[in-house]
Amino acid sequence: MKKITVVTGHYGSGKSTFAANYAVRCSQQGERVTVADMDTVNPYYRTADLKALFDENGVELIAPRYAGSNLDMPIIDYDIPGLYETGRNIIIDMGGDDAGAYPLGKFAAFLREHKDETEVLYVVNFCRCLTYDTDGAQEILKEIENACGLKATAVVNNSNLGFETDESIINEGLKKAEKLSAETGIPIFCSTVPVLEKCKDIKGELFPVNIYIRNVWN
Amino acid sequence: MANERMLMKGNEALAEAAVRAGCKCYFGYPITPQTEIAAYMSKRMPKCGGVFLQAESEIAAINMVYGAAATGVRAMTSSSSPGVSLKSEGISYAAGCDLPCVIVNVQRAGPGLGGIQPAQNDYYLATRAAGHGDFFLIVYAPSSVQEMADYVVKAFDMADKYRMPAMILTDGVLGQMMEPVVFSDPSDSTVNKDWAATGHKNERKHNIINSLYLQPEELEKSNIARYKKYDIVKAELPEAESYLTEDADIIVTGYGASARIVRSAVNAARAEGIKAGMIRPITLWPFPAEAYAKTVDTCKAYLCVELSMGQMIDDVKLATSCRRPVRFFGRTGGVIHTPAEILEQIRTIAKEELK
Repeated sequence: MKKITVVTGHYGSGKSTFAANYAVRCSQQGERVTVADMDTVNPYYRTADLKALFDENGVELIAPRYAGSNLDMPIIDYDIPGLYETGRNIIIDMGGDDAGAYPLGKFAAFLREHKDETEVLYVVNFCRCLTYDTDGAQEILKEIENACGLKATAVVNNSNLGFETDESIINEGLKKAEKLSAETGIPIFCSTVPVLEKCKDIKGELFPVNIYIRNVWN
Repeated sequence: MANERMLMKGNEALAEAAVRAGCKCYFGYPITPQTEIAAYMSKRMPKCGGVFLQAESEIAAINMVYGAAATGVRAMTSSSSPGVSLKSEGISYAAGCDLPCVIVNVQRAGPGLGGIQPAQNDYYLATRAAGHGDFFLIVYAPSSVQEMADYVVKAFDMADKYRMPAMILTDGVLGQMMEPVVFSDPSDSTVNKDWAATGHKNERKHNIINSLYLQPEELEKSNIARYKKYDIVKAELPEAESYLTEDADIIVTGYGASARIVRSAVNAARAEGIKAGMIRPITLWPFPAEAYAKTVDTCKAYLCVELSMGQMIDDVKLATSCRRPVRFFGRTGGVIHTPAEILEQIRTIAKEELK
């Protein structure tokens, strides 16, 4: 893994779920991993909610001090150069869309200086309404890149319909991801498949994703 | 992508469905946990010839809805609890002018500034006191992301049909959670609105949109006429889902997000041999009293579950004519009950009421 991995994408594309899975996976493979929750947009369903999971798996969590409280404050009380100095591998989970990518702009110069050590991931779920095709996915990608002043270096294809994901959804997503990659010249970092009974026989080099963020009745 | 299944947040599904239902004007103001509705509308409206406007306040937004609805256009605003309090004056004016429009309340915990976590503490606000004066709103309480989409369409249709404002009363859980959703074909939004203020062009008399009456007798006449309309709505509109109620000894009732959790608890109780069932009101006004009334002879006890200190329970007691005990279980402040907690309540009732 790269020293710094930034996870961007459309609202609800699965950024936090992917960031958490990637962090746990890398940690299990012996990497020293820190996840930084940089979502200043949505106080619900964020990586900071997964502290127990990270503790269990030896992943360090950095989150704004009011995350998970009733104080809906868009603050970041840490900086990326500081995290970089720790020598650990950093996964930064951004908020959704351009609005969520803005705070990254503050560190864009630093990240450009450390270009070879930085991965800027664009997570896309082609089952979402505004990223249902590659045109929509490109539009949101451009908005994010403009907001943070960084270019995406790779695409994470996270196409899924939640618990209703099946083989046809995965295959359809793979096709669209390849099309997006061809159109933009941005390579595919990985394609995901949810860890579900009905998905276990799907063939291909897929990154298995545990659905850690759930509702109380599931 | 007309009939494709998509993974959406409740807030987004509601916004997309509103656009497809012909909503041409959206006026909003950000507040957690409904901000995605405004964010989605800001991206979507310019692409379909609609208007998105972030107003200077919630009060301004509802008055813009009032203006747009007066011209016969389908208009909507959305907010969360404290923001809906601010809108109450404008809602009353819209009701007083018989203006069809849709107001969305993605509830959060109160009172006051309260918190940003989900709650169902605005039942009274929605069904009893959405503003000053004698009036009601049609109130729908969806319970899934699919229903967030389906019932906003219905809210527009029924608002137009009965010429009155309609509210979607939902909460932070449903607004933020993601589920697959499929959009049905858009409804016919071309209702004849011969009352609308669209310019008389010297071809007809003025259409005046107004809630001020100079003579008390005229205001009384208008109020009585509106209540005759409400009688029709009460007869035609109530909607509820009854689940395993036919042989149920204990009926658990809740709406919206609570109903999701209640259903899990009812299934768990059945697995233990307790005959539990569920009534889930879909319209909160008019309240689906009939769904309860027809269970009173066979059901032994009711349990009302809300994310509040107990508001809908009043309607449950009225609907069952207080002939059976109606107990209450709720969490507030943004805390969400678990299926296990509700199951424990059902067990206790089974022990104490089913002798």
